[in-house]
Amino acid sequence: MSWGLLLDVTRCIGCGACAAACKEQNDLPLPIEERTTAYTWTTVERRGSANVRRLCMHCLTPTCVSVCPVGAMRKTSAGPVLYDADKCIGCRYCVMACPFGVPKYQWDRPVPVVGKCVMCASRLAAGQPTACAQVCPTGATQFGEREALVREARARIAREPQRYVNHVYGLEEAGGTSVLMLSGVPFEQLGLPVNLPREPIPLLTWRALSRVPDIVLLGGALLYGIYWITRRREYVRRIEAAAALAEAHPRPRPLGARSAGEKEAT
Amino acid sequence: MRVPRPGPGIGGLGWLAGLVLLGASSPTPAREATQSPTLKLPADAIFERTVGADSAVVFRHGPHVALAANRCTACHPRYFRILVPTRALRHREMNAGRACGACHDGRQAFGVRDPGACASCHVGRSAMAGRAAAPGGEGAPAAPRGPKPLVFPQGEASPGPVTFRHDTHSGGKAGCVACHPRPFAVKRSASPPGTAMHEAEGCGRCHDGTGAFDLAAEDACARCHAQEEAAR
Repeated sequence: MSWGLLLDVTRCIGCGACAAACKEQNDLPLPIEERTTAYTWTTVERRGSANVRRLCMHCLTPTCVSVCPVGAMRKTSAGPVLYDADKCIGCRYCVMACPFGVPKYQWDRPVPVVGKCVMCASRLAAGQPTACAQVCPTGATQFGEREALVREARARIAREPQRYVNHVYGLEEAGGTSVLMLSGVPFEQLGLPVNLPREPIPLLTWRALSRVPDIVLLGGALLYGIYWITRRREYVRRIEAAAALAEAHPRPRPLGARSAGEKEAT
Repeated sequence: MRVPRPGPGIGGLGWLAGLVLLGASSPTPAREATQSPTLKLPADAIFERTVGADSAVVFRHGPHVALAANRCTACHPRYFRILVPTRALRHREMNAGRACGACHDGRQAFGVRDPGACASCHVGRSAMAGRAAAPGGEGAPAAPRGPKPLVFPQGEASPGPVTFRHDTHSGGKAGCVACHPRPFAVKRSASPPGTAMHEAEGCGRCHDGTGAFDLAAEDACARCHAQEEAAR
């Protein structure tokens, strides 16, 4: 059971209720900024005639989770991508890795952490929709099961094809996201990345990283083999050289030393 | 794991926010036009714990949202919480520029301390019922309904108990603020007023022979302390 959000840009009037509710729900300081920051996890941006919300897309296979060296980010089965500030070491790898530029860093704090939308995970656990979806007065932000939202999004496009661009953003972008978007204008005009791969971005590194154990084992065996061979060659060469030397210059017996035959006779 | 149900927009789901001030309840057509007809706004918030018999405050989102050009952030969450309903507000905080007073400061909108503005917010439940009944009609502004008559018991040096009636002390053009909160706090004091009431810090403020009859006049006592004599 995976939850998600359906954002319908054509319905958004930019009232900002979602941002206000987010501030209140997550106890974030005012004001509501024009761009998302570590303290403004969602905001409504004006793009031409369209109002578009910015928030974490909650990827199905998140890049931030993949790159975090300490496991501070994790994708939950309920849908949200959660962040654990206690684990975070502040490397900001997630900030750089996110294809949507979502995680933001607290540049103004002596002990900073990352801030981003957590899809009101505590509300979901309590059986409530996200705060933004609850207060949206136009239904532009809709909460529901992702599968149902995908069906709803396709139904809306089919019902009013002239109203929407024939694309559900987030269905396949970066391997799919829990947040889906519908728009009446091309998505690049909304400031969204449109050239994302259709497969999860972590696959890119996974393909290489998954071979590491094989390469280490095989490579190790190979290198050891080469080492063994060269060492044996050297050993053999030294033995043969010594034998040749002994043959050419037989060593005189030291004084007083008895031959092996004499020793046995006594 | 418990599963959340998909939410019904905002519905009546406990985020009625805000309160007070129905003064802007008659939006002009131009203002009305700025509001999308499809907005699902919380139901009217009714605040009944007010002084007076039928002086409940009814807050309507519609006109306020239209006046704010559909920007919920004009009030939320700075002045009112958005996820939980505002249940109580005090004039003290509004007078200090918080909550309703952030806009109703006498410049952006009528002030929460404006003389004569009381009835703009304190319309009472019955007025709202009438408004709803009249199809499309905003109705006439409801007359302010004062609190019940106050009965002051007879003091030691008093010729008799006094019954104070709000409806004969409307304050003239000044309205409620002619007497509230000075010299009389809105919240009634528990102790009997005593003879200090005759001074300038009490009824004497108006009853000095210029604005109203002089308390020092010979026949003045019976005009307030009339109850005892009538009983006899």
